[in-house]
Amino acid sequence: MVRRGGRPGRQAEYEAGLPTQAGGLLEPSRWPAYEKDDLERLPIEPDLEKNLRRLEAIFGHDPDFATRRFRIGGRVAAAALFLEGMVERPLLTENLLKPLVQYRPEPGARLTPAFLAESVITMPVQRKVADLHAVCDHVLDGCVVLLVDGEREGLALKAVGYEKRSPEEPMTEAVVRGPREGFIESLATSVTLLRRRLKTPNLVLENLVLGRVAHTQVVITYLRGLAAPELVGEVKKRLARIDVDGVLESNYIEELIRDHPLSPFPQVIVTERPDRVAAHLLDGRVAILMENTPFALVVPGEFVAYMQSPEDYYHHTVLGIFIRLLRWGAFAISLLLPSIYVAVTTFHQEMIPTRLLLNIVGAREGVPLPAVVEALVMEVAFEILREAGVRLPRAVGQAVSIVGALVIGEAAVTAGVVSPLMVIIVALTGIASFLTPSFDLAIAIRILRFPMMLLAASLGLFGVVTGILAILIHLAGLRSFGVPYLAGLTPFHPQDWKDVIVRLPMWMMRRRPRELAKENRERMAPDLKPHPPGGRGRRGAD
Amino acid sequence: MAGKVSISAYQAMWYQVGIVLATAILFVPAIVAADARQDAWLSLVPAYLFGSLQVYVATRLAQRFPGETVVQYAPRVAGRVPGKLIAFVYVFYFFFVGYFVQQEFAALMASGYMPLTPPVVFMLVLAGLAAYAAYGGLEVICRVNTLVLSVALAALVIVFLLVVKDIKIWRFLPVLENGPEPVVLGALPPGGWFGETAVILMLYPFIADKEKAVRAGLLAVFLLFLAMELVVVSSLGLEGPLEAARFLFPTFNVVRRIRLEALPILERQDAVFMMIWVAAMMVKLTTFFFAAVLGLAQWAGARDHRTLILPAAAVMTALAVQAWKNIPELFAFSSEVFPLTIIFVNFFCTVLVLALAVARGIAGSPAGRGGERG
Repeated sequence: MVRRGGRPGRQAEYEAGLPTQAGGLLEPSRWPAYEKDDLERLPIEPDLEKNLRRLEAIFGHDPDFATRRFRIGGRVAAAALFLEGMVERPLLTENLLKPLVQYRPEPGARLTPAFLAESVITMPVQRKVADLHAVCDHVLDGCVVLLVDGEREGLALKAVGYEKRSPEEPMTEAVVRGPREGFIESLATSVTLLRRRLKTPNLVLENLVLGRVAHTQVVITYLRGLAAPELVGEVKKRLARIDVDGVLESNYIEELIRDHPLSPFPQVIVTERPDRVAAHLLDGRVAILMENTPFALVVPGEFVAYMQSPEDYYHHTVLGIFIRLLRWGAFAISLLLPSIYVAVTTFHQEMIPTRLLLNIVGAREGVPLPAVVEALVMEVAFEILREAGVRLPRAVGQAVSIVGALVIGEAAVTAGVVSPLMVIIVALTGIASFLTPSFDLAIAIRILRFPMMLLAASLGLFGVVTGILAILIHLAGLRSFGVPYLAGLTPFHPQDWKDVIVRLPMWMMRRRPRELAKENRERMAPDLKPHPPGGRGRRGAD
Repeated sequence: MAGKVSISAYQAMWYQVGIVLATAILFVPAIVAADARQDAWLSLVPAYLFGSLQVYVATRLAQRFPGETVVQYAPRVAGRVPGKLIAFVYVFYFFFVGYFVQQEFAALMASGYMPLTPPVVFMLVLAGLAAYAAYGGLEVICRVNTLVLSVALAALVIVFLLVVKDIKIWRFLPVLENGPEPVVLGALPPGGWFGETAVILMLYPFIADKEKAVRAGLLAVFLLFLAMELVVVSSLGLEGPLEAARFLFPTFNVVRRIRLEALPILERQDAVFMMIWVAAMMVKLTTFFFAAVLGLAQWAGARDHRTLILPAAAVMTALAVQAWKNIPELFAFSSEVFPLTIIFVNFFCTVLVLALAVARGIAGSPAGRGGERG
């Protein structure tokens, strides 16, 4: 869409104002696209009217483009250019127009932008602009650009004020206990949410603009002294590679910076919780925030990070231990339960206790399908229901879930199409998959469940273990930004295990994860275990 | 960001434990019990000593040439043609153990779990997994091994705890009924199996903390000794020496014999044990297969071993299919021929190379040519 290098002779087109043809004004869709290089070659002229004519040629048709002409102190012509809806009008009137109009300049004094910015205008100044590209850029960014007749420079003034949502509780990562605010689409607000949690000058925010057309603000953030410089360098290198027309959601970035693009497993942590990002930064990771989406990216994302929920740390450690164990169990169930059921009922009936076996046989008696087909049909039906649940308008959601439950659960069993046990299996599998805190990991497991069922149907438990091994080998070969994907599980670092299968008390997790923070690994002072007053340490020590 | 491949000495140790345990557990109890009867548990002691000696010799040899594998330095030590010959013996040995594992595995599956499936299916699946892991390289194999072995050892201990109440002490009596000879004779096969830890000859260049290698190797053999004692004691104590010697896979029979009135769900769970053992066998096969492919590439002077993976897997599977006609033949082979074959390579060849190297004063440079991509 955007060509590199301008076209010669374009200047004349901008001079002439709105493009015309024989029959009158040319259709806006037929105007040639404005190129950055062309605009950069057009400086701001001392003649204000000429500048405004050129800008109208660019923005002329846009209803939200506003040009406010006025005279400074009633004498010098000036104009404020901005986009309606992107700027805060009261701010503009009070701090720009009013002071300028009321200002009485000394006769004959030059009104340079520098002078105005220092002595007259009470608005924060973004920077000086000298060419039309800079003017357009800042106007589109929500600045007010002030042009003064007779000057070769203009001023871009900060006045951003557009409609935005206030921070709400994140929908995808709800917690029982913990902060209730999540990132929003406005980058400035999101950055503030993060700043409020890490009040240190070592929180580095590096700015970046991505997207040839969309010009999306992206911020790389990390804690100086904690994040490995090589990691930060690698993140920057990968982001710099991105050259697309638009970056509309953080997945655009994620897909372009992953280590293994075709692996179903997530390699970048996605979250809309500022507390989670802060916790990850404290571990030595690097976060990528961008405007227009509440979802931030955190790298590197190794496997165990997807099994940790921020809430694990907001509850009592006993619950933390229990929940983690439950979660790993549910993870295994959501991947393996249907395939193990298929394998055991098809190949290894001797493993089932006799009573249960009789029940199963009784229940399956009228079912016309082999176990694997039954399982596949039910799983697909469940996936359909789940996907429908996401897309449905809220008003009809209830109705569909009732129909789904009745049809899939009750009627299918009564009709003898599936066995009741299979309904239990599928329901348990589906619910267990929601225990995985990361939606991305849950997706990978959801998809891998199907090949696992086919393997189980063809080779029994041996097929299941073949599938597990293939997944394991795949995982062992993955890396996320230089960190082995199975870091925390293997290579074996006993220190790190405190936060993997269980979540031990805070005072026991003294060090940061081994693979992330190579240096500066101490997280807290030693010996923080609280004691009742009086008996410090072991009884009778003194 | 993929740097030089390196593993730690303790990863290598887990590795040595994993590869020996995977198959030793299947055959060794029956083989030892056949000779040593109720003293089989004693046989493991000389086997342990012999195993320690083997791993010590192999690690010392490897330390002499820290940056190279045995295939690379054998020609320098023994002269070009004999050296290449010795190197080929090693390479073929790795392949040999590889397809032996495949056959053992197919025998286990065909006899115990899926008698109607043609054995070649199991060999192909296992070879496919091994090839996939070999593409990933040594680090991948190591990580998988650590996880698999943790689960496998845990399973072994749990099984032991479940059967310990049924172990009868009189099944071990009388001690040394026929004098010490049967004990020593029975020590030969497990000693051979312990000697498989000599695969360190191929892995040594990739170990990062090389100074710990000897200790880690000796520790590996000790852990193996403990694990094997667990297996032998439980199968002897549960089945008695005669029965243990008659069964093809006494260990699996131990799992079948778990009897718990309170928790019948834990009975007859040998298929779960089989699942875990499939993983262990896969790791073993992958290790030897990887060593074989790497060795073959170095032997032939190929630049990248990866291109050899698929053809080598095919050849290995073909060898496995033709090698033994049926399970009794395989079983006889593994008790009478296999231990001696691998002792010949692991011990005699290694001693030979070491002796030649010492006699001729040849050693690798300390820095070596390490850091081959694995």
